[in-house]
Amino acid sequence: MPWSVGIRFTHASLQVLADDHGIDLLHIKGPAVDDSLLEVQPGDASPPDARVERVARQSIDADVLVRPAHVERLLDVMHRHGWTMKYRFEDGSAFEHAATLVHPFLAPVDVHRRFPGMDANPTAAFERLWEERHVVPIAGFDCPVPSVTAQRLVLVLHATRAGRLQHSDIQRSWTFATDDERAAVRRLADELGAEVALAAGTGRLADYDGTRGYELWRALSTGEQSRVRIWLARVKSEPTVFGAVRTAVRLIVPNPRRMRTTLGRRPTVREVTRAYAQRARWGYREVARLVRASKGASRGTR
Amino acid sequence: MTAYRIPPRVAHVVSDGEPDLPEALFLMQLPDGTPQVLHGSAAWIWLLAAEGEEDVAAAVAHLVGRPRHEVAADVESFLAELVSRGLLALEESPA
Repeated sequence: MPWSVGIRFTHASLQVLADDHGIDLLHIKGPAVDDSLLEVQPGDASPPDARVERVARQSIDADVLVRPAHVERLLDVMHRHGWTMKYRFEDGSAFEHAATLVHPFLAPVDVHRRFPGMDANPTAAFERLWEERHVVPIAGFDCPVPSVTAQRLVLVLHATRAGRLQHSDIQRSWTFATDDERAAVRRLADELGAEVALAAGTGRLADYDGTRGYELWRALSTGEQSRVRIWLARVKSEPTVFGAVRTAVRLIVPNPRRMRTTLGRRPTVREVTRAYAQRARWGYREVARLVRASKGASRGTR
Repeated sequence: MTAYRIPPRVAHVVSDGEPDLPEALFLMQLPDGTPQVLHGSAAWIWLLAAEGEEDVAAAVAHLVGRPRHEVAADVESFLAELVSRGLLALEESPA
């Protein structure tokens, strides 16, 4: 079965489970993206520019955003229908925004409980996106998706987080958008607490210098390679001391579940211990390099 | 003539880039069925039936350039098989 078919079946399958169990979820990215935001290429009609064809998005998994209060219910239902957890929320990215589940023959799915870059309360953010949803058919099933404006925002934030500011998603969602479309995206970003991340993806990050999240989105959007710089920026962007400490600890300790995936088996105590030691050495080297770099920069600016 | 419809829980995807006369059609009964694939004329038969074509045999005959009577038995038999496997449903006739 082609991967693209498996992804569509995954979306449809999750929607059936959601309908059966009163779960609100929005399908995002991949086949859920509006046609107007897809890449176009000349069709084979004559003359050549008489017709264009939309190019389907290539994805490696399906993505859904779930109402936070329904996340546990969805995961429970999925487990009863053959899905198994590959990465828990806390095993995934530093944002802890998504869990990855796999199935014997369907495509994997990232279940998002929030979307990175949207700093508003996750429940309020979901409700805001939910209230303007509409449905699109995926594999013949009506699947709720965010408004086109929200889809533009999601695509920009996603590309920005990956440091891909020249990505065609940003061009189609923002660069080639009309003034009215951009204004709508900005208004929505303000409501969702995504103004810094949006600014990072659209060349206006300097306007937010000094605000929380600025350093994180500067690091992410510029493809920062130093893990410690990203780590520090991530810790600084936490709104609370508790969150900062938790993030700091989580980012520096090794993750046994990821190790299990990498090794293909449960890591031994010795391997986990060695990973702790490697992380500690790595952290020390990176911090030392940062200190040297910052000293050099300070001398250079005098 | 018999009319058909897509059963409520059958997902269907036509292979990419072949919206007009697909070479392959993928079907799955949700949420726990096993994906099935129909190739070539089998895919066309399912699509024609699912789109409400009442004389599927005639439509298939037209597509393959053969007289209806040459294909009718095979088409009807395959339609019955699709119904028995739950991949198509018979449309209720209005009372």
